[in-house]
Amino acid sequence: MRISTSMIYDQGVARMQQQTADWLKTQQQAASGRRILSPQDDPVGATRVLEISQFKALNQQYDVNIGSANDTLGLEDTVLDSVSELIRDVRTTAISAGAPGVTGSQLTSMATALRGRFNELMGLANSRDGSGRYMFSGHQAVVPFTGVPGAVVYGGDAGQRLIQVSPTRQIDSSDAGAGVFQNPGADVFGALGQLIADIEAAAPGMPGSQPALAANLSADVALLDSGLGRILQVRASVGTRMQEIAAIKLNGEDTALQYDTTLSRLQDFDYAKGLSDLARQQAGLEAAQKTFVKIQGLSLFNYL
Amino acid sequence: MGDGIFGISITGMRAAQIGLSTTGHNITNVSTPGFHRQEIIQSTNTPLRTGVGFIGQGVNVDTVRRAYSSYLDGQVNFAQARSSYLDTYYAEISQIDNMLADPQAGLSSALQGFFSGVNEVAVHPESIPSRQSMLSSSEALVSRFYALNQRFAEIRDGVNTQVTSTVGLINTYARDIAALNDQIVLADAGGNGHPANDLLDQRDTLIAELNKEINVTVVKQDDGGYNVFIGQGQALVVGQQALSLDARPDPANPEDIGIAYISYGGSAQFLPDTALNGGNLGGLLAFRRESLDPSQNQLGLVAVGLAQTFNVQHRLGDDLNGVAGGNYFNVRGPTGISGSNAVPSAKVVGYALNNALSGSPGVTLTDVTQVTTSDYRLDRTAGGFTLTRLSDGSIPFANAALPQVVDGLTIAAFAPSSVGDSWLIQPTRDAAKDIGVAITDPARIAAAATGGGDYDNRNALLLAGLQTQSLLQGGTATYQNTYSQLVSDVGVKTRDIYVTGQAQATLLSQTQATQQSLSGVNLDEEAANLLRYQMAYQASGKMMQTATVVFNTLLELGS
Repeated sequence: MRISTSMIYDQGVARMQQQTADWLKTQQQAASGRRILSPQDDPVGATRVLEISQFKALNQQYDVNIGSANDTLGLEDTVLDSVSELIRDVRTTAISAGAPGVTGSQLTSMATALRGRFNELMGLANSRDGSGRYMFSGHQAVVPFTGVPGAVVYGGDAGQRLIQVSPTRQIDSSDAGAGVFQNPGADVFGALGQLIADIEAAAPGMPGSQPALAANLSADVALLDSGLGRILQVRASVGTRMQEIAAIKLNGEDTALQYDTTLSRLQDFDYAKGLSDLARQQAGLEAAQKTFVKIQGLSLFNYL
Repeated sequence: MGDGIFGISITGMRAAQIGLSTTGHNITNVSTPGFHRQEIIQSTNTPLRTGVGFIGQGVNVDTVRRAYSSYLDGQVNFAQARSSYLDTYYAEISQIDNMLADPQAGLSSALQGFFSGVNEVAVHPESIPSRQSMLSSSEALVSRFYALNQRFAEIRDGVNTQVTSTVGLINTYARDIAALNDQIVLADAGGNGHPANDLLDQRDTLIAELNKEINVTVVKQDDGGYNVFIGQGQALVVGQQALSLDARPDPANPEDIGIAYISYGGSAQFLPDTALNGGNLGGLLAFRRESLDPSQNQLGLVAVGLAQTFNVQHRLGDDLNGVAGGNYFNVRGPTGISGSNAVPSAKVVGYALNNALSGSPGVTLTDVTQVTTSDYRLDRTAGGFTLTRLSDGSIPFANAALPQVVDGLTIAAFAPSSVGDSWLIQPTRDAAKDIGVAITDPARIAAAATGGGDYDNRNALLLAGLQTQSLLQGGTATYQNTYSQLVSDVGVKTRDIYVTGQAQATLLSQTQATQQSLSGVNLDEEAANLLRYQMAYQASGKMMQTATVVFNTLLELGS
């Protein structure tokens, strides 16, 4: 076959250009650390990277949400702990109020102390969380509980504050105050109010009205006990929820690791293979350049 | 006797001289594009009949001809048209491929950022800073839509500019070929049957160049002229006359520059894109039709799909003031202007063939979950209206009365209209440009369910949940899926065009090698020819010297 001189040039140059392009591509991959420089390099892989990146970002979002839920539930747990301590103290006071030989002035000072505890309980029920929200007001941004002993009014509602903590799970990050403090049959405000009223009513007649007071006090203690029971029940529920989100968090961290592994496999440049490719391509390019120069040197005109 | 030797040696020197000239011509044109090597055709002169037989009378040069095969040149041209088509397509689609290359620069990260903002409000519905951050991430998302759409618009402008300049080149080549036809016909007529090699080379080079721009068919006439045809048999060159193309806005879609064929009388006929194949022009048109339009529509589908489904949910909630939520995103309205519209409208461009357009239908995306990435053409027929889905050519309804509901679109009844009117309906083409954030007051974000308080996050939770729901394309794809599909489609097509282009380049190189093996100049061969003709010249010269000696011998006899 005849070979034309311009063909020798053109094809030689074309090969060198191709070699250079391949070499440059590997170089760009090595420099960026990315196997897929643009979607055409691996359309399926590039799409998977986008999808998994979204899952990974969602997973991170759930982790942030878990953090929020954990914070507010942790605070609620602390508040409920203080509330149960308070009720236990009040219960002790109620029992000592029924002790034989208690005087009227003793009862009066007990009632004063209990009014203090009432205000303390009010403060706890109206606690705010880390971002300034009332913890027990449901969906309403209002002071949940107002009033005086015996006449406490709940201004919030029964709204749940759900937080998305996994693709399929929304956790209640708080408890509406009515269900915690004024549950039917388990009303700590009511119990405390009644206790104060009973003691204050008995104080002037002391020590005369001892038997009546004893009966009232035992009813009040029963009320306090059922109120405390409700608080402990809610607290247990808070604990369960915190345990659940701890498990979800662990699960999410495992998933994040898997996403990272998949993403790395899909998009990271394999340096061991890549650098050997680079060396091979460079050798190929150099060989093409050398042979091109050699072939160009061959000409009959050199001998004329 | 001496006269005979003189005469023969002169024919030899003459032939060798022509051989040297031709070789020199070949050597000097070794790098001339389109040059076919030339060779001399020589034969013996008519011998002298004598009593002792036929005495040879030396050599004669019959003609100089080029080493040319219309078949091999045709093969190269055909391969070249396809190769140029693929190269141009690849150059254009690579721009989209590169635009989508960085996962951080595409839509995904902005989409994710937006939903992080929504989630933040879902956790802290009462917090103004959280709400402000959601608004900011929404603005960031919208500006990402704008940026991507803007890039599509720039690529479209680039295609339009290139179509115009390519058409200019085609017209120039057509005129030059017609002029060369003229010269070649004259040269042939006056050349005693000798071919006008270099003129023929020039014309074939122009045909080759023309094939880079568009696929042409060449028919050689008896008088030596070329007739050149494009598309569906439209004549571009007929003998000495060139016709022309004109690049002008497509009347059915003024955004795009299309091609009109200007026939003899000067009347323009619009050529459909699909009729123009091969070459740079074919590549540009195919890229625009097959890749650019669907890609931009797909991006638009994400924009309008997100905007509309989000708006629907947002309107179901209450804001921080206890007022029912309005539209969160702006979408295109019935007059084509983006704003706070409950239902997005499609872009509708009317086209009346002979009369002024009398009216246009309102087309709304009433069920965005069913909307496709296709464009549609609505035609007014004698029997009513016919709709064509342009992506697959199917006809959802024919000769029917309006209103009609197709693919989530409602095409409203309107009057008046005339038979022959048609409308291009682009449901999502400009959606990524038309989207906007409708609210500026963070308190207006409807995070609460109806009647809920400031801490109520129920609607915000539902809004955040939209991210993972398959809401678009008939309930099969999330927002992210719909965008990923764009990336995947562009990646697959770019790869396809690249691989096909590589194969075509190899094929082109092979056909060129075959053509060059016949027609190309090889300098070693020419150097050998140089030696051959030089020797022939020297031998003929020596012969003349011998003749002189012989003649002198005769003269000396008498002295």
